[in-house]
Amino acid sequence: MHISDGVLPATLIFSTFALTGAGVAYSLRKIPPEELPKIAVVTAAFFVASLIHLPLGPTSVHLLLPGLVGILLGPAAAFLSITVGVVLQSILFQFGGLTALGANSLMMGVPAIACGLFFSLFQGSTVRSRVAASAVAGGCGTLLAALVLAGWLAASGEHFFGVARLALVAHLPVALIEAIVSASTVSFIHRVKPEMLVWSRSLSPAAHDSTG
Amino acid sequence: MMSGIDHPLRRTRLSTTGSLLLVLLTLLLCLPVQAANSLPESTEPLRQQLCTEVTEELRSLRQENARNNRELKREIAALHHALNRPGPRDILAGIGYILGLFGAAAFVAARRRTSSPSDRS
Repeated sequence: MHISDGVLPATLIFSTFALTGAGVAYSLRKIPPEELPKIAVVTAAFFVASLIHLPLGPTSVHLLLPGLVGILLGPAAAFLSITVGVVLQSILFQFGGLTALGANSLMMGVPAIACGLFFSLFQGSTVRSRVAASAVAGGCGTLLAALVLAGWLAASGEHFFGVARLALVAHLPVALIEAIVSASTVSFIHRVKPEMLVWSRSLSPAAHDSTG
Repeated sequence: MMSGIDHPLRRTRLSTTGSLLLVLLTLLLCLPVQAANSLPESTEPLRQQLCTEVTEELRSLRQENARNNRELKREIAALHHALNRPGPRDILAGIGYILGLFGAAAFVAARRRTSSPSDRS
């Protein structure tokens, strides 16, 4: 799920680039320095995840992981992480065009932000609630990305509902797999390092001031 | 039209249609008087038969070539696809880039923190 060169109109290219730049600037201001290694590792995982192809019937699907990035990093850091990952995927793997970088970053970044917020609101503190929240966030992240993709294509002249239905149906199995992956990841982290899941505390202004 | 290809092809196909040709040739040699009169009439069907055979052969060859070409094209497309697919080197390069970028960011952040006096106090 990447948009190639020459699909989007020029106005959309510029506006998505501007939005992505603003998002990255906001992320950079918000991130506490001690979070950087964790962000780097999650970014590397996101970057590599799209290469893991799972055979599915006649075709194969690959993981997208915007939901898991949002869950693990929180909204602010997730956007920077996604943007870096998408830029490198575009340069090294030719996934998506260079002019569509902004659109592709937003396509993954906005669901990551939404999933991060959702997870922080609904995670609770027990294993069960966290696993459930992460499964929902992981699955919805992919579907949300498919919806954003349909939105971009609609802006470039396609019919929104047709594209949206196609993208949603094509990504239903991916969403299911991502829900499972997110849930198992979160349940593992909950067992071995539960404090990793409460990024909201380390990102809150008070904690940021006390550490800075 | 066929005279250019007819002669060498007839020679190469002598093994397969050899018996028929030999019979006809001996007939021609044995009956020279008759042959002088009936030469155009007797070679005309043979010529036509050879012509149809050769065109048949050419058609089957062309079909076989087309099939092979299609197979080759498919293989080339698959190769292109495999070449464009990122290999382990690209993956490692990307991970290295990410770790390097964030490492540099961490370095800058750490420097800023140690050099700013308000943080030290």
